[in-house]
Amino acid sequence: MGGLLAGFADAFHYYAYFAIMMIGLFAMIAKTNLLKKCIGLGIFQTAIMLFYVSMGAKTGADIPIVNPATGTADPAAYANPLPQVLMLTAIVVSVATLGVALALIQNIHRDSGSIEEDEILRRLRDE
Amino acid sequence: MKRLALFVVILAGLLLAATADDFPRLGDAGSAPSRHVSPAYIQGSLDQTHTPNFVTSVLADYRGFDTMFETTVVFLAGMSCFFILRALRRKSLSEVYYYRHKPTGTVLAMLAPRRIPPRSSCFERIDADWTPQDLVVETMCLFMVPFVQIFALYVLAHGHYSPGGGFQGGVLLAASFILVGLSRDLRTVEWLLAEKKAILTAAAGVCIYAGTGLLALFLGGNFLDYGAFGPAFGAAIPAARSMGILCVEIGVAMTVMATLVTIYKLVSSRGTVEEGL
Amino acid sequence: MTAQLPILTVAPLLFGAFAVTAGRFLYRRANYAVAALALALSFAASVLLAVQVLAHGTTTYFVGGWPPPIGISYVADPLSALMLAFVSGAALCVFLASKAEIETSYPLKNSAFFALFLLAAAGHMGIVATGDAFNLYVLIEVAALSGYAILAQGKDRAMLSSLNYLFVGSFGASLYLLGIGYLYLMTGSLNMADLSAIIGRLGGVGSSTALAAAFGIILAGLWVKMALFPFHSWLPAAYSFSAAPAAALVAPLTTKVMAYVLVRLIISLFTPNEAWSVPAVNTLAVGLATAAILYGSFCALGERSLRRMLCFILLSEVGYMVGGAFLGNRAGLTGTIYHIFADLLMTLCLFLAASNVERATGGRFSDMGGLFRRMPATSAALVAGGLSMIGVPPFCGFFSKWYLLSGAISAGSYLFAGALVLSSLVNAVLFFRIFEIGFFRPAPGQDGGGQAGHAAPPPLGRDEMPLARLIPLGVAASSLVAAGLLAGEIVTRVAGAVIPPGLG
Repeated sequence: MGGLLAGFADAFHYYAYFAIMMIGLFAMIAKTNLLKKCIGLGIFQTAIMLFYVSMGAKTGADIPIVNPATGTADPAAYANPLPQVLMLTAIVVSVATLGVALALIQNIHRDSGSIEEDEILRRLRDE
Repeated sequence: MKRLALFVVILAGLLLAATADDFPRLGDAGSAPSRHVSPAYIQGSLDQTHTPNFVTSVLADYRGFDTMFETTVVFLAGMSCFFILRALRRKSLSEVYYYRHKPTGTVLAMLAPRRIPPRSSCFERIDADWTPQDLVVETMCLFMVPFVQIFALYVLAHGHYSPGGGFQGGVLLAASFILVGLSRDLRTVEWLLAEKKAILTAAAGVCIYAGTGLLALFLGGNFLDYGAFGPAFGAAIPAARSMGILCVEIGVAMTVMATLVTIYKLVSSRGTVEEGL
Repeated sequence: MTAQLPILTVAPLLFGAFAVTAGRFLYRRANYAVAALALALSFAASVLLAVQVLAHGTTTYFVGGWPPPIGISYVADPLSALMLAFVSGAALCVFLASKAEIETSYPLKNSAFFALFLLAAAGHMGIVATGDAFNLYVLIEVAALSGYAILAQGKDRAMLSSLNYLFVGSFGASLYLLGIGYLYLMTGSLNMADLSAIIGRLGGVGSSTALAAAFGIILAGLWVKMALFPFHSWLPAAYSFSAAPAAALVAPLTTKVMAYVLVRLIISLFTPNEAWSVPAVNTLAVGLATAAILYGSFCALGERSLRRMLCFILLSEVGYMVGGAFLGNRAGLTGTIYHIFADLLMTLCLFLAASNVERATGGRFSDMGGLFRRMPATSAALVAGGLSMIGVPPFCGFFSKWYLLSGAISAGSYLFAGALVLSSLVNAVLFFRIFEIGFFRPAPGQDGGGQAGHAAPPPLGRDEMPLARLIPLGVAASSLVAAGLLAGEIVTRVAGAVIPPGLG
C-alpha cells in the first residue's frame, strides 16, 4: 500500500494531465455546439503542452537563463530549455488552428444562422 | 451519444494512465531529456551564440528551421482567415450608414454612403449597435497604448537576456492595436493599420526570416547558418549568430503582430472590416 | 549548389507564396506566372536531387549548420528524393491544369488561393524530406492548415465538412505530438536516426510500456490523419464538397504523404524488426486495413457521383498501404512503397479527369451519357486511371497489387489477400459501369431526337476542355504507364535501397 501510494505520488501529475486530456476529448466528441468543440480541442492540446513542459523540470534548478554567478558548468542547475521551445511552437500552432476554426464557424453561422451541429445538418438536409 | 463518449473517454484515460509507470519522476535531473541533447544547449549557448537565454538561442538558432515554419503557420493562419472569411464585394455590405451629430446627439440613418466626409468635425460614423462611449475608459486605454508598445519592443529586443523574444513581443504589439479596437471602434484600427499594410507586413516578416536563411546560403554556409555572416561582415562568429537571432526575431514579431490584428479584424466584423466590437 | 539542393526544393515555394501575397496588392496579373514558376523551380530542384541521390547515395543536410541531434537535419535518401519529385510534380500538374477552375471557383481571392496552394505543397514536401520528428509535426500542421482553408470553399456543405476535418486532423496531429513526447521523455532526442539508435540500446519497443505506448499513440495519430477505417468519416465529405482544384491538390497528396510517414517511421525511427515485434499491432493493422478496403469498395458501389465514388475508392487504397506495411515481410513493405507512388499518380489522374468531367457535365452518372464521344481525351485519361485502379498490366496498379498479394500470401494473411482481390473486382464493376455509361448511353438531350427515332451521336469532342487543361492530364495518364514499365527500377533502386537487407 505504501509502495502504491509512493508510486502514485511520483506520477500523479501525469495522471492529472491525462485527466485534462480526457476532459478535452469528451468535449470534442460529445458536445454538438461547434464553439464547445473548439474549446475541447484547446483543452486537449493544453494538456499535451503541460506534459511536455513538465519533462523539463529539475529539482532545485533555476530558469534557463545564465546566472552570471554560477555559470554554465552544471547543466542540472538550469531547467531544460528544449521542451519549452517545442511548446512555444505548439502553442503558436494551436492559436493558428483556433483562428482558422473561428473563421470557419463565423462563416457557418452567417450561412445557416446557428452553431449547433444538429441544427445545421437539419437545415442543410431540408434545403 | 454522451454516455458512449463518456465510456470511450474513461477507457482511453485508464489506458493512458497505465502507460505512466516507467516515466521518470517530476524534477529528476538524471532523466533522459536532461542528460542527452540539452546539456549541449545549456553549455554551448553563451559561448557559441552570445545569448544567455537558452530558450531564445535554441528557438532561433539551433532549431531555427522549426521556428521558420512556425512563423509560416502564423502567416498561413492570417491568409486562411482572409481567404475563408473576407467578404469582398464591389459595394459595401452594410445597407444603412449611421451618423451621429455630436453637438445634439441625433442619429441619421442614410442609405447612400459617404455623403458625409469621414473626418468631419460634427458628425461621426457609428456602428449599428452603438452605445455611448465612456470617456474615461477610452482615454485611459489610448493613454496606455504607447506604454504597451514600448514594453513590447523591450521584450523583443531583450529576448537574448530575459524571457521574451519575437513571439511574445509580437503578441504585445497586436494587443495594443486590439486595445484600441475595443475601446474605440474597428474603423480606427483599420485606419491605424490598414488591411493591405497588415498582410504585406506579415509576408515581409516571414520573408525577413527566410531571407536571412537564404543570405546565409549565398554567403557560403548552410540555410539559416548565421555563422556565415561572421566572415562576410567582419564580426566574430558568436556575435554574428547573436545578430542573426535578433534579425529573425524582428521578422517573427512583425508577422505575429500583423496576423493577429488581421484575424481580430476579420473575425470580429464577420469579414466585412466595417463594424466590429 | 548541389549540396544545397535539399533546401532548394522547399525554399522557392515559400518565397513564391510571399511574392504572390505582395503581388496581390502591387501587381496582380503576374501572380499565376510567379506561382507556376515557383512550383517549376521546386520540381526541377527535386528532380536534380533525385538524380543525384540515385547516383551517389543518401545525403544529409544540416539546417543551420548544426549537426544532429543538436540541430535539424534533412535526409535525402532514394525514397524521400523520389517522393519529393513526385509530390512537386503532382502539385505542378494540378496547378497548370486548374487555371480556369481557380478563376471561377474563387472570385476575387485568386492570389490568396495561390499562396495557400504553394504553402500546402511546401508543407507536404517538407514532411517528406525532414529527418527530425518534431519538425515533422510542424510541417504536418503547415500542410493541414492550408488544406483546411482551401477545402472550405465550394458547395454549401464545404464549410462544415472542412471544420469537421479541422477537428479530426488536429486531434490526429496532437496524438502524434503526444507520442513524440513519450519518445522524448524516454530517450531525450528528437532526431529520427538518433532515436532509432537509442531505442535499440534501450532494448526495443517492447522493453518498456512507455515505448510501446509511444509506438501505439503515434500509429493512432497517423491512422487518424490518413483516414484509415474507422477514422475515415472526414474524408468523403471534405473532398467531395469542395471546389475541384482544392480536391485535386489535396487528394493525391495528404493520405499518400501520411502513408509515407508511416513507412519512414517503420524503416528509420523504429527499425522494421522492432516495428513488427508486437503481433497484436500487426494483426490490428491488417484487420483495420482489410475493413477499410471492404468498406471503401462497397460504399463506392452505392455512389451516383464521380467524385464521391473516387473518395471512397481512396479509402480502400489507404487500406492497401497500411495493410502492406504491417504484413511483416519485405514484399509487403515493397508493395506499400510502390503503391504510395502508384496511388499518387492514379489519384492525380482520376481527380484531374473528374474535375474536367464535372466542369462539362456536373459529375453525376446520369449526366455522363455519351461521354466518350463528347470528351475523348478526358475519357482516355479516365480509362487509363480506371484500368490502373483495377490492376491491369502495364499500368502501375498491377505491380503494386502483385507485391501486396505476394506479401499477403507469404505472411499468411489470407483475409487481406482476399480483400485485395475482391476490391479489384469491385473496382472493375465501378469503372466498367462508368465506361458503359460513357460509351453506350446516349448523351443527355440527344436521346429520342431526330425524326428517324435514332439519336444522332454528338459531334466528337463537343464538350472537351481546352488544351491547357488536357496537357497536364495527359502527362499524369502517361505517367501511369511509365511508372508501370519502370516498376522494376523503382522497386530495386528505391525500395531495395531503403529497406534494410536480411528482412524476410
